[in-house]
Amino acid sequence: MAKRSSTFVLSAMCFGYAFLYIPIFLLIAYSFNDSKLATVWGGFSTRWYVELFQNEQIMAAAWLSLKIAFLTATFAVILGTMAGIAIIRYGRFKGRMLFTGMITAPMVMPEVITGLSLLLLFVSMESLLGWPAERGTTTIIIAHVTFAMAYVTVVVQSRLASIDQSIEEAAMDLGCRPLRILYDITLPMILPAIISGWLLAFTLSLDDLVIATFVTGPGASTLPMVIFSKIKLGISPDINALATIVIFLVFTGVLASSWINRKTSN
Amino acid sequence: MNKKVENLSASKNIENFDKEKPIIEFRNVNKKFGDFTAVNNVDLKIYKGELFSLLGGSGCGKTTLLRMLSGFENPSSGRIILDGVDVTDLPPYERPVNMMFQSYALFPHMTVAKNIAYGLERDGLPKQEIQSRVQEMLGLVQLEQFSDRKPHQLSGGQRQRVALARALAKHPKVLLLDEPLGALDKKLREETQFELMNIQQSLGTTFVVVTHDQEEAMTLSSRMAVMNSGQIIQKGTPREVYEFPKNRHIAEFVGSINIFDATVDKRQGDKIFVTSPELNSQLEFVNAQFPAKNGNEVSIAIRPEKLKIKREASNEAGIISVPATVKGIGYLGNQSTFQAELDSGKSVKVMVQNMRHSSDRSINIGDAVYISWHQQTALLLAE
Repeated sequence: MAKRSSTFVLSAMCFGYAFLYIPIFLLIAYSFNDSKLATVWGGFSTRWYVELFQNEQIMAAAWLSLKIAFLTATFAVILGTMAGIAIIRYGRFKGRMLFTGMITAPMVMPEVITGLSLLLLFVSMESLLGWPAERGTTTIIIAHVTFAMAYVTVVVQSRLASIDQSIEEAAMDLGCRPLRILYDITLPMILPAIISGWLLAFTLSLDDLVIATFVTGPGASTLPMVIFSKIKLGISPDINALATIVIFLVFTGVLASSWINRKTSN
Repeated sequence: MNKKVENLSASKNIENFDKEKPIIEFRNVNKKFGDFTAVNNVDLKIYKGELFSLLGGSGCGKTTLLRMLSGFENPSSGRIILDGVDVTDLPPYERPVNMMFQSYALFPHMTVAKNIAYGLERDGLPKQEIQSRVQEMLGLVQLEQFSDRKPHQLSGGQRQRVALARALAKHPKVLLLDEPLGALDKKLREETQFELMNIQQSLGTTFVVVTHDQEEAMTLSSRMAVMNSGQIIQKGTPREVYEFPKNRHIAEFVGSINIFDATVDKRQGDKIFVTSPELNSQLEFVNAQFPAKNGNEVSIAIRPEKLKIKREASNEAGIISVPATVKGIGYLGNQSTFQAELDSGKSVKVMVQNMRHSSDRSINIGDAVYISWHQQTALLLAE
């Protein structure tokens, strides 16, 4: 009986992993395909990687995406951490429920609506205030921070809620002023949440196509936008190479963040 | 008998504390959370060098009182005076008191030495002085070899001692301890109790302990206050509170006790005559101040260890004997508890020290016996 159930579990697990990862392995395999046709195997080659690095349009888009993701993650972490601390540590201030709800709303809002509403905002701001003068990198970063900080807030909030508040009280009892407690006690204790929130915001920003498409201007095309527009003309093998590099980066990122988490939780 | 109480408490107070000014003074302190009154009109003086316990069940306001002393809660009304200074409006980081938290609240990302040094660093003391103070504290709690460990690498008892050392490092005028032994197991708790008392005595610091454990309060404290629903019901030395509880609630909360319903028959000078149908007898008490009139319902309370259980009735003067039947015997090693039923059906607990070998035990379940006590060991309590 135990034997049978274990073979069942084993095969279910294999099937599940296959379902998730065969497409990805296929993509990695085809990135080393010599043939120009994406679906026909023509022998091993790394020429698409070489071609990728020579493609200035893709490299510029990748660089822009990384820059946007880095800045988005940094601002989202600052704002999200502040929001998380306010929700958990500042008691039952007036409008706390509303604040909590509003902060997390972007997580469940359809991206199309977030994108559209932000576009409307930027356009009306431009005509009223003259800023932002044109849509592009800045507007994408603002839009990304808007929804990425919701995720950071949730991560920080849940970590903070699990920390015994009397630790901060102890610091105050020992003569520490409130602002200093933030640096000495609170931030070091929620650091793992801040790091994983940063990584999450970075990935979300790197990944986003819909919102960026709405709020971007003529000058700024992020990597997903470039890939998406190229796909419309047919799959070119250098996109496979690019995807493989992205997968590799994400994989190391996930490994790093789980390693950090394990190290700090011990 | 109440006269005796007053004499006892008066002599104790004058001897030890009254000559000095109180180090802590609560003046008419109230604390409300919305509609809920957590602390109700507390007036309390605690003297220098005392080990004072606040005892009570959960939600009685003892922790709120402690948190008002440390500054984490502000009283709704009333003043708190600390060593002659009104600290009511001072924030926690400006009060010369330190607290040992129930959860210990050690900083998880700092070593033991760093934890202890934290408060001293905030005061901006010179590095060398911090070093020597940390060493002194580590020595006090015997944790010298653990100074570089992080809190999660320590056992529960060691963490408790780090928390104590950290709270004492700044040489506070008063140390507040919130359920200091609550998280330890029974054996460790007993050892730590005495350690805590030794440290308190060697430093001479005033300790204020919050606890729900009456045994702990009795062992530790020089004086204690029993609280219920936000009020201090009785304060005094552990002996006073145990021997002369003010009312039925305290009698039942502190230690175990047998309570019998009774009615006042008449008062004659100092003497009060009461009848208890449950005891099936009339008893005589001497107490001029007792606030009961003829016909009032009162309680007679007797501690189980003050009762004797024998086969024959005693006819000595001052000894009262009541017939009963043994219903159960609990053997606890050093002592035995007898559960006996009086003729009225009332159940009585008797505690007997096991001086002799248990096989010598002459009383068995079902035996007809007499429960007896000296007149003076029974207490008269108003309802």
